[in-house]
Amino acid sequence: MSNNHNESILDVRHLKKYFPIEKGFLRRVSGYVRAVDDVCFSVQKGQTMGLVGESGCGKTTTAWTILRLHEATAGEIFFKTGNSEIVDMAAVEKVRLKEIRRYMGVVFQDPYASLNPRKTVLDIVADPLLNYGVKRDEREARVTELLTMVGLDPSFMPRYPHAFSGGQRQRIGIARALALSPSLVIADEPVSALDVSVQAQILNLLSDLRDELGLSYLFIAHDLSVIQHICDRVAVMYMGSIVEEADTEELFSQPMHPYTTSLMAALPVPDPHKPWSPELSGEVGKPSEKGSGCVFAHRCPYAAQICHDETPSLETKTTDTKDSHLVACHFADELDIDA
Amino acid sequence: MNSDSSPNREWLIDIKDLHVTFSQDDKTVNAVNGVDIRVHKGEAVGIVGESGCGKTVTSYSLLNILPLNGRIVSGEVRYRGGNGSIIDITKLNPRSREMRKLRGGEIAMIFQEPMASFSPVHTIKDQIAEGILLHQPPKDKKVREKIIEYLGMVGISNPERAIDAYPFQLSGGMRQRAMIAMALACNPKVLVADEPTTALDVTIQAQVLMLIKEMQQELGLALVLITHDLGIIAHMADFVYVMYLGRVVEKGPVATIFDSPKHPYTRDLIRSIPKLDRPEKRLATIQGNVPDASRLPSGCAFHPRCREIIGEICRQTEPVLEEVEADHFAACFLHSPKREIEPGTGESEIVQQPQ
Repeated sequence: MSNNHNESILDVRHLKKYFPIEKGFLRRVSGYVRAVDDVCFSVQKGQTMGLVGESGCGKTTTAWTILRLHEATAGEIFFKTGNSEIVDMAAVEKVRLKEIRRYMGVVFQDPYASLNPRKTVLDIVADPLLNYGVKRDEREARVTELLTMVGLDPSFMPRYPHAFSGGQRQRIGIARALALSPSLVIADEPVSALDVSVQAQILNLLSDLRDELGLSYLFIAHDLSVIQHICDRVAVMYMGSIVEEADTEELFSQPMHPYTTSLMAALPVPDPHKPWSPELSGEVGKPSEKGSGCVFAHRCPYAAQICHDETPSLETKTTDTKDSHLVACHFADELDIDA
Repeated sequence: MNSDSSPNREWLIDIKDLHVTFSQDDKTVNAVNGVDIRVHKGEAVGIVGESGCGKTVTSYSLLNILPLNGRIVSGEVRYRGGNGSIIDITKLNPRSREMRKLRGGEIAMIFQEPMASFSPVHTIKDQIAEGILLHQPPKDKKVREKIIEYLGMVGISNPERAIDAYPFQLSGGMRQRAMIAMALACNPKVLVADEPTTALDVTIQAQVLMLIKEMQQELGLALVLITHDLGIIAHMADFVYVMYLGRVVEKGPVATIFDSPKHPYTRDLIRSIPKLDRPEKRLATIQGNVPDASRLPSGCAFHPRCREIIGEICRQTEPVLEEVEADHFAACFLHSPKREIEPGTGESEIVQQPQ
């Protein structure tokens, strides 16, 4: 699965997260929402792995399960901590979570909701440090360093979040995520709430920090152009499953899954001379009503009977490049969809 | 002005020197500072800008639905009615009979968040019927049939069932379709869409935008589309207004704006979007942040972030829109003949400009 020539920092294997649907007074379980359904991928050291998909596809649930904010229903999540120990986040004893989580930083989507309005910037950024027993004067020195790193003036420390714009707030959020020098940063839609001109600044900052600090990212977004810009490898998710995974360049030049191509076609390119012909009809299905067969079959223009009956597995397809290109489609080899 | 001279292009909406302020706590926020926008019959006008540029406030002024702390200080919003009469919307009382007749009947609006703009306690039928009964009580057909017809037209599958649904029972895409049906139900002349797809997923966004475009062309509507997304503007608008901090900084036909943007803000905005077809290692950025609208910079509002600042003139004098080529206007001294006329205000300052 993972590229052997590289060192993987996170290895997610057959991860499942089902949420029970409870009905009636006795709250009997009448079914399951299969939010994440047999997902495998890995994040290599120093690289950015992208998870892309529409709302409800399970990308955020995957991230939460990796952080053990959700208990996994099944599967393994091997994470290599800062001292090179490999732990299974899905199974490790709860008492050890605090010690392991310091190696994972999280950047949230909404910089307005994710910063406590009653705390100063110093308190917000120093909070993780406080949590791990860093002394007061060391905390201040570290926050100064962090704020400088993310391009903010350290003199902002005594101010409150309301004094900052969206972009500046997201910088504060990034500083907080980096406070404990994590090895893996999980960024969940970090730029989708920002204006375009600010979005570019934050994307550049994230790339710079990755290169400077040797970070690895799990980058979650719904915007393909953002994903293409920052990720080394991308997994496309649909209704809880990965339908395609490949290196960024490969994925965008030779998409093989019909869903990936529809997603690309749906995005209006900012050029009035380029044709724009989104074709995909229908809506994202409900993960609770997932039956057998391919998850995308109900919207797929190429769907045949086999697509409704059998679930295609995520398999390596023959391509010119050496790195693996995985597709879950019965017809991946036959369809010529990028034409 | 080019659009003025051609007699066959009759304007429907003409916004002139509009100023809107908001009182917030004890300060005044200048949300719109002298905006001129003209919308012609059947034309799709795009207004693009970042948050806080005044694009939504401008659209609210069109319908006279500013929040209570907002005030139109000066300017005109003229609407040309069906019989050729010209009405200044800013002079009407927002609650008056005339305004209510225009709103929904002549100028309809699609809002950003369909869940927040529908009433959660009324069915789709009741909400659409309210408008129809107010504006055009039907004689021959029953209201219900008319609503079903519109719901079908906007691509809602099984409209007979959807009509009795409450908004929460519909998906985001279907809700926005119902919103479009509601807007179209009274045969308006102008459709104002304020970020109509921001809350939707990309594939659903594409469907809804296609629907708006289709309806606009089929019914010959004028469309005012407000968005921050240049990709949407590129494919939906005929004529584009770029706004920054309550002013129009550039306007022109869509192809011209994208091919040869003249204002440094427009140029930077276009450069800073990651593009699928041209991946770059590093994105171009606009330095700094959009300033607070209650503390507008002096002179050209963009000067603190501008990479092409000329000098003192940018800091002191507010540039006005001037024609740089046929039908293409920019408010920037880079393209202004005035720059040469005023000696001592320009070039010599460049050296002192800290970068």
